[in-house]
Amino acid sequence: MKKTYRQGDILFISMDTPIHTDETAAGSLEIAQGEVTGHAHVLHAGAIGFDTDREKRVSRLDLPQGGALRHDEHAPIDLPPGSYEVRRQREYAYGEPISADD
Amino acid sequence: MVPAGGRHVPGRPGCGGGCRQALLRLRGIPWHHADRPVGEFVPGVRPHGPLHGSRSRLARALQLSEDNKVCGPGQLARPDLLTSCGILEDFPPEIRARLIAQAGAENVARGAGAGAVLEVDDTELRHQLVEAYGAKDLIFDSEVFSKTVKDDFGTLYRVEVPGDEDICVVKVLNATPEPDGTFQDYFLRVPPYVQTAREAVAWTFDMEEGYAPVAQT
Repeated sequence: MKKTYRQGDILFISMDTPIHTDETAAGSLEIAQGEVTGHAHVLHAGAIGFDTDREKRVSRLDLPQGGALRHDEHAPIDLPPGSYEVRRQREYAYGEPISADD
Repeated sequence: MVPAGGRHVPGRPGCGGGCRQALLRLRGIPWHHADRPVGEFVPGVRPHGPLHGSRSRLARALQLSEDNKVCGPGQLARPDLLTSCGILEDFPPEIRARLIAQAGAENVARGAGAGAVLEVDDTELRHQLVEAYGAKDLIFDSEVFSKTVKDDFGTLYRVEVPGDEDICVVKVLNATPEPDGTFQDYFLRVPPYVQTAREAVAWTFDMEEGYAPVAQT
C-alpha cells in the first residue's frame, strides 16, 4: 500500500519510483492557496522538483531531501525523501465532481 | 383546499394552510406585481413550440398558484411558495427559470423548505434546488436522513430520494485542534454509491482503496 500524507484538503501519495520533473524550486513552493480562507499550503525543502497540471496546479513532486509542509490552520507535516503525487480534495455534485475549497 | 386539476401530496408543507402561513411569515417582503395578460407577465420570455400548449400550461399554473394563495390576479407568483405548494414545476420551464433567476435559486430553495425541495417531482428542478440549498443543510434541515454510518474516518449521512439517486454527505473532523482544543468538523458531499465514511473520504481524494494516511493534520 502506498503511503499517504494529508494536510487539510491536500493529499500526498508516495510514488514507488523517482520521477523526472520539468520545473524546480529551492527554499519554498506554494502547493495550493485556500480559496475561502486564503491560507496556503507551503512546502519548504532544499530542493524541489515539480510538475503542474493543465490548470497550473502542482501535481507531482520530487523531494530528494524530503520537505516540511506548513499551513496556518494545520499542524506541519514532514515528508520523507521521495516522489509524490499531489491530489486535492473534491466534492460530488450531480453529474460531476467539483473541487472542495479549503 | 386542493385546487381543481392540482395534485394533493400528503404531508407536503405549504398546501392550503401551509401556504397561508408562509405568506404571513414572509409578509412585507417586496414582490412583483404586474397587470399584464397571461403569457406576457415575464418580460423577454417568448415561449417556444406550440403557443397554445404553452399558454394553456401557463394559465393552468397561474390558476393553481392563485388557488393556493401564492399570488393574486395580475401578480407574479413567488417561486418559493410555489415550490412549497408543489406547483412550481407546473409552469413552463422558461417561465420557471425566469422566476427562479429573479428570486435567486438559494432564496427559492430556502424559502420553500428542505422537505418541499426533496418532494419536487421534476428531476432537473429538484437537482437545481438541492444544489442551491446545499446538500449538508438540506439533509439536516429535512430531518429525514435514513442512514448514518460511522467509522474512524467520519460519519456518512444519507437521504433516500424516491426515483432519484441518494444524497450523501460525509462529516469529517479536522485533524488539527482549534486554539480552544476542540476539533472543527466539516461536510463534503459524496456520490450515492459510497457505503462507509472511509470510502467516502477516499473518494474525495480519488482513491478507490487503501486510504490510510500515515500522517494527517
